[in-house]
Amino acid sequence: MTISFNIASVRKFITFSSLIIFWEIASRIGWINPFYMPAPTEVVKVIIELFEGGEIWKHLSATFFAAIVGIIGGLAIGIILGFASALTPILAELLEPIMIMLNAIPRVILAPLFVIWFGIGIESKVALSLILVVVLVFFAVYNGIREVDHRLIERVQTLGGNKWILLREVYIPSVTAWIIGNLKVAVGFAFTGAVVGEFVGSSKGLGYLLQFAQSTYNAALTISLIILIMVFVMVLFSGAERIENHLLRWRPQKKTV
Amino acid sequence: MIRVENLSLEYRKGEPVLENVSFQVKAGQFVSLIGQSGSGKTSILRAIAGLQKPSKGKVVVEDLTSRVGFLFQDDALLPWRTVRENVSLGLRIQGEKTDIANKKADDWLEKLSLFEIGDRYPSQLSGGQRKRVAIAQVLALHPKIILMDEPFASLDAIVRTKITQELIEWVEQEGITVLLITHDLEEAISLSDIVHVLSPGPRAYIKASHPVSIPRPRDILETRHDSSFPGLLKTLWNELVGEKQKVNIVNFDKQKKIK
Repeated sequence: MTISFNIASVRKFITFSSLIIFWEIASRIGWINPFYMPAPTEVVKVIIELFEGGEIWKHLSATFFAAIVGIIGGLAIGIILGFASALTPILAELLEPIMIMLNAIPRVILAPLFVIWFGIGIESKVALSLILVVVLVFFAVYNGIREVDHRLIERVQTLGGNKWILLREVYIPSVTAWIIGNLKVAVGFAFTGAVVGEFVGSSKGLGYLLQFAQSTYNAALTISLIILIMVFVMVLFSGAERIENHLLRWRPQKKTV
Repeated sequence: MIRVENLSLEYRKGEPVLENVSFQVKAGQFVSLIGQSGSGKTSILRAIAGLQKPSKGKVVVEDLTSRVGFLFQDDALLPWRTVRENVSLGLRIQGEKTDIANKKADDWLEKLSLFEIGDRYPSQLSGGQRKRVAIAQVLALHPKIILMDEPFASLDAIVRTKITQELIEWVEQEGITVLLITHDLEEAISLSDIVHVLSPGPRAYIKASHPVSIPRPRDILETRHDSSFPGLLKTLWNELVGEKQKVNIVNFDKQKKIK
């Protein structure tokens, strides 16, 4: 199993490296117009310049702050609304249609509205990030409670458990599993919200830089920023995956192919 | 002691699943309730467990709150709790401190040869191990009464025989009162003092009751060699499946004699 995993990793590495080398050569000998697709070495140069100048930190921290506040706030609000709706049928009747509607639409279309409401500061980015995460977490909690394994409830009841013990032993762990299972998606959503919010209207952030790069036709900067965002999201993804693997270690092991 | 008096249950108005079911399980008795699928056996157990409200009649269970154990067909172990935590769950619910409950759970894991897997999660266990953990969870509460709903139906024959033997030894040793729901006639005879036969539903009722005279303590494999076993098995079979099938079993016997 280990051998096949290593071979697969080597294969992936070789494929990826070949692609980069081909891209570099194609750009240098003129197969690809560097104006639209600068060589990888040019992109790396731009990334180094971004960090050397120090200017990037301001933008990175703005995006990260909006995304992190979006995740934390989205989790908190989503959990509260999900729990309240699952336990209060009247509230569910009110909230479920709104959440279904918000879930059905691409929620990033709310970005211009949030800029009008909250201005071009951090608030509109947090709001967009938050609304993306809230809807996801709401359904995770709401479905987590409604679809909790009934046999577990009966088992705890027959052992003498009251509603508080049921909450502690069955509902909270069951819902936590749903939320943790959606954590990686939430991280992606929070970043999407922050970057798109900045793209629509702001004075700092990776989304703002992307907007600047696009308006100046700077393909090297655009690709550099896309790579940076990908790297940071993947780092956060891996963090979320570690949390998931630790907290949900009781789940059946996934089969590795 | 369990007393079921004129129990009727209906899920839809005017269509009772059970009608006027009455029987009792005396202290220390092992009683089985057999019946065809869909006859309402599980509904009776759920009513006794308090999970189902009777439409009519009543169920009286001595000391229901603290000393009754339930073994269902599904193990229903908490997947996020380790084996040890699952076994100590009932004790913690009853108010034991976690460390004391876990220590008592360890004692039961030791007794049921499960100590080595105390830190594992249910998803990491075999079907037989999960069943043993469910049994340990129930026995850890020192129940006076155990209600069982086809608890071993999902196990293969060898594991099933081994676990059933372990359980019957504990039941006999501790003098536990048991009500077993099963559709396995041989299992019912091997384990019970009395076997009640439930008529096919709807409007199911107790159509016959048979005492089992096999002496205790019992060895599950040996009970089949008791002289009363084949006759009782045939009686139960005939009562359960009716006249049509009765002909077949007679013919089968004749064929055996010819050979």
